[in-house]
Amino acid sequence: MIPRMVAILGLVFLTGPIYLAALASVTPEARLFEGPILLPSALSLEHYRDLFAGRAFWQPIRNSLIVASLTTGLCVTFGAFCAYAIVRLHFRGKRLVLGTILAVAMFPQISIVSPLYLLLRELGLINTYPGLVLPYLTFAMPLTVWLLVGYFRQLPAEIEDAARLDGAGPLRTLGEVVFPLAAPGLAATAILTFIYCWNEFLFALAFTLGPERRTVPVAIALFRGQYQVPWGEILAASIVATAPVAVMVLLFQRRIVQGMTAGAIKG
Amino acid sequence: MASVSLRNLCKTYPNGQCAASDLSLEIDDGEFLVLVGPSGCGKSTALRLVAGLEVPDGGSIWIGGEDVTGKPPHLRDLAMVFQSYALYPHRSVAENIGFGLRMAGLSRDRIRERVERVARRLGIADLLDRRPSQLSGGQRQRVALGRAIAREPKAFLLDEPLSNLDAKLRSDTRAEIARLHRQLGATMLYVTHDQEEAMTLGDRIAVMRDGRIEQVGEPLDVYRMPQNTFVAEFVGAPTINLISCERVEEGGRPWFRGAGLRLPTPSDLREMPAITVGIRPENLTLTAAEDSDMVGRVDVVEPLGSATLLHVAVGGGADLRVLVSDFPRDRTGDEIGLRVDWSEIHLFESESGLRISAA
Repeated sequence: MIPRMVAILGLVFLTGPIYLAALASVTPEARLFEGPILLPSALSLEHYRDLFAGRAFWQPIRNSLIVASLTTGLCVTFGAFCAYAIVRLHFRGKRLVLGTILAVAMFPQISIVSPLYLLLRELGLINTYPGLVLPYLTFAMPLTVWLLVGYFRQLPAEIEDAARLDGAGPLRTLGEVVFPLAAPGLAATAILTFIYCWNEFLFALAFTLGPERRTVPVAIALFRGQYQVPWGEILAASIVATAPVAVMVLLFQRRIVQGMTAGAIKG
Repeated sequence: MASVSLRNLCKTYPNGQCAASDLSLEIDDGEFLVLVGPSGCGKSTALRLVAGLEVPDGGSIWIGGEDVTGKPPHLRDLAMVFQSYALYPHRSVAENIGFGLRMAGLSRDRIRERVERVARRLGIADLLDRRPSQLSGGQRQRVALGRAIAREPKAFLLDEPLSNLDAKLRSDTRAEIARLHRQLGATMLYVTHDQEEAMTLGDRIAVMRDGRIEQVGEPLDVYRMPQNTFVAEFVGAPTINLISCERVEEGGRPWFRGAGLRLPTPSDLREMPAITVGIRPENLTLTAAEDSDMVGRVDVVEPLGSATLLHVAVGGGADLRVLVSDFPRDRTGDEIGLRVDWSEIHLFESESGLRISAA
């Protein structure tokens, strides 16, 4: 009985704000500040309409999709090769390499925003897609490599040995056997990377200049009303931005957990 | 098919374990050679060296007269059957069997034709569309065999292919492998820790210990003439009795004595203070106490079906295994006499364990 109550409390605690945000996003502007709203009364889609008609919210969504997809694709592709090499090749200083890769992700983002800005400006990449994808890669790649190392470790080496004896060279062994077997791990890693890029705020704010390259989080943060903060639209935008990620996670949650815990337990 | 030759192979793992030291072995074209030894003796490493999955620290490997030491596994044209079967779990049985053919660039029709032929031969033709996870252990084993056969490689490498099967299936599959070898006339290098498998399958067997080959020969030759106590104990079931004997003077004559056994010292062994005598359980027979070579008390009776194994406590805390045709269990504890078939005993140096060739 008590565990169940704790679970219900936890659920209310975690989903309450999301529920309130969702509710507020469909409540007419005029009623938003009348008092606490706990149940839907007058439903209205005006905030959503304003969002796409008035603010061209499609543009940041498009930007976010492009940047997140590109980063994810590159990250998983290179990360997979890198992780496989770390797992299967014998070379000196393997632990050092792995440690260094992780260390790259340890820098607080805020501490490298300025140098990165100067670097990107020098390269002429400010306010471009590559200008976001490249910094994202440096932060997402270590996570990808670490997750995939754990995943590849648990693949039985004998299956790869079998493929090699069956006449498959190293690249074909990867393509025909290793990557198909690692598909769940690759998918989980891809989703995590995608979420990271989709939600990233600081770099996206610093390295974009105008609405044509702004991603969703930045766009939401920079919403302005003429006389007041447009809370209804901000919440509607938040819901729009969260929905695809939430759906993805719900669909693949089993795999994500498997992918994250892979190699954690020997078996 | 081709001959396989291992020449002075050395391999030490980074953890310091020496898995092959100056290992040399010739496997003739079409021969079935079994590498046998206890776990950790380096037999699997030897196989992996031939396959190219491990790189030797020294020495060379030749297949069909060609030095392949520097060649990667996929260019050696060998097929391997793994203990875990190592089937591709994401592919159907047909794709598993045909994988090597596809890698070799055969046309789709020829692959299908050959896969079907192999599957019929192994009795798995109706399983071709299944996934490995839907198969029983024995069926997986057949698929693994099929995958190797379909390739028509220069030689087959089999790494404990039967050890994951239950007893009945193991004996069936063992016969199947023997039949395949005869039909294909294939060169096979087979690794096992089971001496019975080695004896029944091998044209020749190579007994290994600590990265070295202790003895190579036809199974019965190895059984009849073990070159040292290790081979004597490893080959043959039930295990041979090894009795440590010391030289004593009795009645003006030198004898070797140990565990109730008394052996007249052969003239050329007069100088030896001690030897080890090996007597196989089937070379001891029950007899009346008065005309026996030694006496003992029956400790345990193990009926094996076709024969019965007795553990007999003889003097000096020694326990001898005796194989007899029949012995009632209720006579456990009886005093019995044992007679030794002196023509079949093995003599070894007690220090080195090496065979004394005079015997």
